[in-house]
Amino acid sequence: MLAQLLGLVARRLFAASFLLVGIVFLTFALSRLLPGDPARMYAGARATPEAVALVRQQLGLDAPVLTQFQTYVTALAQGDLGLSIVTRRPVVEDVLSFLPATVELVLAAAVIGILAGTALGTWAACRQERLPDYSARGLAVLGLSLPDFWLAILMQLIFFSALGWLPLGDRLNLDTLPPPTVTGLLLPDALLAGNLPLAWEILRHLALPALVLSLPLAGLLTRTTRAATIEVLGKDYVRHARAKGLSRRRILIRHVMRNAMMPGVTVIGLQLGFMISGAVLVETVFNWPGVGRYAAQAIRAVDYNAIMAMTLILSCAYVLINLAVDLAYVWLDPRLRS
Amino acid sequence: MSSPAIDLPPPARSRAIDMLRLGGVPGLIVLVLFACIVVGGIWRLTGHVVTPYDPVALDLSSRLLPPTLAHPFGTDSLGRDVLSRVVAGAWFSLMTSMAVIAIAATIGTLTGAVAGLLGGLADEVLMRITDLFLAFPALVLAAAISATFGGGLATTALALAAVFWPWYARIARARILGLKNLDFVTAAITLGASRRYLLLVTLPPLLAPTVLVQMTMDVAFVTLSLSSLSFLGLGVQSPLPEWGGMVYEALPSQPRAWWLAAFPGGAIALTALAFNLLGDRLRDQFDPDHRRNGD
Amino acid sequence: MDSLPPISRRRMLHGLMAGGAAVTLPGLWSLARAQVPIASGRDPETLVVATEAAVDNLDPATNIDWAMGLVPVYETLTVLKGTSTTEVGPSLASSWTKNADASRWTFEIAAGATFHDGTVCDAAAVKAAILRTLTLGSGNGYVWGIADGETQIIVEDASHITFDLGAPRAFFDVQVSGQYGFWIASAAAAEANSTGPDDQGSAWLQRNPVGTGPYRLVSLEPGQQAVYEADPGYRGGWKPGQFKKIVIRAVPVESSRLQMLDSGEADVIFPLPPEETIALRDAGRFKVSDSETLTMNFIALGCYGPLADPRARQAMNHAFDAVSYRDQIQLGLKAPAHGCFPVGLSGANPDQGVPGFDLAKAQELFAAAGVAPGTELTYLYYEGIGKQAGELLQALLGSVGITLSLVEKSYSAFAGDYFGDAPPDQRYNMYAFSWWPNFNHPTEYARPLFHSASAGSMGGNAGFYRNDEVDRILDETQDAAIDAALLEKMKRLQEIVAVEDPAWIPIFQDRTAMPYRTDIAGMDLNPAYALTLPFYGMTRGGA
Repeated sequence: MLAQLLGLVARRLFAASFLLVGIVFLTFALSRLLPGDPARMYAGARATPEAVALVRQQLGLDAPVLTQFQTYVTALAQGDLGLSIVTRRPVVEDVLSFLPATVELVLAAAVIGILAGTALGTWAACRQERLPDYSARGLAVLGLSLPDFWLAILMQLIFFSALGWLPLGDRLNLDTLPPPTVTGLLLPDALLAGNLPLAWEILRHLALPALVLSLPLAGLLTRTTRAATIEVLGKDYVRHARAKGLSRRRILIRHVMRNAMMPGVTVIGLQLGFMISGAVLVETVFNWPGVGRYAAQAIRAVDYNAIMAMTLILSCAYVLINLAVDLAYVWLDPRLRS
Repeated sequence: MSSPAIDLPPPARSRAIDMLRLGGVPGLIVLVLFACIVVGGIWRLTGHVVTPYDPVALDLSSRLLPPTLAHPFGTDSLGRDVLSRVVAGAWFSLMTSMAVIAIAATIGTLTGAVAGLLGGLADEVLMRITDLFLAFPALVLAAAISATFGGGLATTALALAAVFWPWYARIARARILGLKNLDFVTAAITLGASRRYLLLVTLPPLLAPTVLVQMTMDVAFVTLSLSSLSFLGLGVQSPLPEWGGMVYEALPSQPRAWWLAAFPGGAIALTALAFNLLGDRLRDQFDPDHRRNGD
Repeated sequence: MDSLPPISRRRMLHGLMAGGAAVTLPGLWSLARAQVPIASGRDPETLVVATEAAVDNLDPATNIDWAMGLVPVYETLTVLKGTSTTEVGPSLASSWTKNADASRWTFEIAAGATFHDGTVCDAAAVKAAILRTLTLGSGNGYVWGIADGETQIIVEDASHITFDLGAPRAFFDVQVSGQYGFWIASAAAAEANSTGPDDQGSAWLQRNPVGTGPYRLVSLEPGQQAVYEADPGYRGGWKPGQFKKIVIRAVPVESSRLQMLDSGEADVIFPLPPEETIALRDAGRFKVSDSETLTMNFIALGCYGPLADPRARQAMNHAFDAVSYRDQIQLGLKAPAHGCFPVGLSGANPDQGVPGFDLAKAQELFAAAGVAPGTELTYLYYEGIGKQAGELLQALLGSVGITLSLVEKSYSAFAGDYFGDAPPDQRYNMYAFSWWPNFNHPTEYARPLFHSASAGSMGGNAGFYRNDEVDRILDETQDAAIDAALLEKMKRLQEIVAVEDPAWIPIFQDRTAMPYRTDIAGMDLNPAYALTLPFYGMTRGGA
């Protein structure tokens, strides 16, 4: 099976590389079409025309477009993503400093979404057409319908302004020092350092943004899991297991859920991609220092290098997630392995 | 005398009732929203004001009033009536979403159907292009396209269409592949149907239910995306009312002037909710791939 | 026939309840709110400032946009005294003298002035710093008005430096107190980290400032926050109550800034919408600064296309209801515009006045200038600044049959248009912007705005304004001393640009409106030092 999996990975990566070439080209074209003058942005709005011209030359923006593309691709091959006009440091540094925040947020949202979605969906399927079913489906539809930026503001109003239970935003309180870096994610690092009060503070900051971000996933997953579970529950092998006398719990976990999870895996894969790029709004409202916020700033400030880098990274993430979904399918369904 | 030999179509009135029942409460809400679109459209296209107040009329003496009888949704920072703006906003938010979906569905379905029918190299090429657009992070792509071309409503709509069409391509292709081998298709080919005939005549009615259901559910998604882009500062230019843009403009005065964000945001939520539920019902009814057990 | 399950009312009800709650909860919230701010357990010797934009470029040779981040770490030779815009006191220079016609100035560098890296700041270091500013191609050295730094700046000895300006410049001591281009940074440190003659260490210095100021930079997270710590060895010494640490945070969302102040997490915040500012001021839990500035907010009118005729631009002024805008939208927080010059600028005529709001007169003048009903005009602004003024103007112009379309762009795209050289047929008809002088001198203010040579990328004259008499006056008064003759000429200039041949619709003269905690003292905001805080002079002590 390992050989087969490796073969699958290799085939997918090969196809993905074509994709990436196309993405590099497309991002370059798009970023060059964006309005605004990054040279002036860098030099300062009131700078002299000589200063702006010099900066333009320094940034390489006065060369013909093809040359610029060539420079870009060459640098990319060496891992150089260029200089950000907004932060005035290498984009690689920017991404490395902001990416962990988004990764942590998306992971937390994914965990919440997957747990809530699968649990609610399974529960609803087992209590079909009764109250739990309706509430679960109602909540699911709400999760898919409420605009996340609006919900984020609402959550801040309720939990910070009115109740004072949770902080307004950011990852940590103003004076708190982050834990020593091991994984790059704050919560695991704090736990690894054994600093429980810090971990609690991190969790409190993470709660609202992750919750808001997780809702579409939770909603979709509830519905998908419910549908798949209902379908599986009607299948012969489940009836057979019941007839054999296996406990409901055992049937549920061993036989039903594993099979019911397959469509859910696709959903998770798709939603993860959306969450990463869609975290922009949540990160903005909660002042979360992640790549979503960075990307939005980059588009506004016409920060070419940052825009291209962000698009590349997000696309790569998408491709990798797709690959993971395919692999998960193979793992979950033995029938696909032959 | 008991059972007629021919099945007569049901009279029009009971057909209408059947449609209402099919839509249910979500359908009614959607009808209300359509009414808002009409009201907004009349105002936008003819200048005739149907709402209680002109959606763009300023009244500096009535700024930032909380909801009252005179202004059930309150007024904004220039004294404009929020209720009128929310109602007229349906034209910009919802109508635009539907236009986006219409464009995306047309391009996508055609592409996917052609790919599925032709197979081989054409299929590969078209699907790679589809994958390319799918791999592009949606928000960045839409924001970049929109910002490039001035950031107005039309360009934002086109940008969103560019983001959404690949989904339809995939769905259409999958469906076509499933249908291709069915007997009646083979029969049609035997009878001399060209591929063009298949594409334009035979297959659309079979594709329609799947695509239409997807379109209905996407209204919710696209409305949310459109308002997200407005929230980022793209989309419709002031002073025209668009729900997402209204929430964006309301941000500086939160939490004090809560009504400025609550009602437009609520309109977005209500729209998404209604269309999602409606899509559910339609799917339960129409989609042959989908069993009633599903959600 | 009927194949649907019956509608579940409960399902719908759940959805509606949740939706209804989502709408009414914020309303209930507003009733529940009545908190008293508490110092939230953070360090009282830290000053936290929450602003909209982030501190970024800390190289004073290239920072021409916002000096906030430079104030803690650098010093200029002189500094404006308190809230005066015409009197300067010692800063990096402890004293100075000038020759008879004020064409040669000699400054004595303060004893004990050291850079944060330990090196001494002597006259040679000051010259090196200024030379760097002058020669850096992408720099703002032109503000000095020195053609040849090498020969015109003379190091007399270790602590004396002379400027040979070549022509009388009576206000040179005030000029060098400006916040744009006049800070002294360590050229040696920059050079040590330089990547080439075009860079001169700028890229490094932008994030690693080396100055002589009371604070040193501890950390800079781009786009997020800058943290400074007091330099215990600062020659000016420290008094109890002064801040040991300064944090300047970028918080783009207004409600978050407000929450930070409310909860005690922030000490000073800005900007806030007028309603919030008034509410804070009236509630009395916080103070709101209310001082003059030399900043003018205006709508620059394009002197081409439909608005080429001065009567059309006069009509524009008549069409804008500035009084309503100030009273009802800005809620009285901003000062009226008495012309195109800010009151308080030397040479400004407070009685100048602008054409008043009179729609009938506007219509008349539009007709005379050939601007017929149905004309379409464009108005450009950035990121919400100038939006409400634009919407007001739009409504008013609409009532006389002129269509105004508002275009919003990001600041960088806006700046590209405002400071760009696009030909008139590709330009907007109006630009909403603000401007303040680098230091208090009328030609320093007027030249970049109203001289025809400052059009487009050459200055701040986005409307391509051209008036021969104005050009002549400005050419005659370049670097002139502020005397009666100058005042007379400036009076005439103001008459022209405000009424006869309007360059702008002036909207208001800005006043500061920064909310801050009642236990903060020293918020003496100098009108010439726009959007910065006097950190060294601020203390926390009692409510």
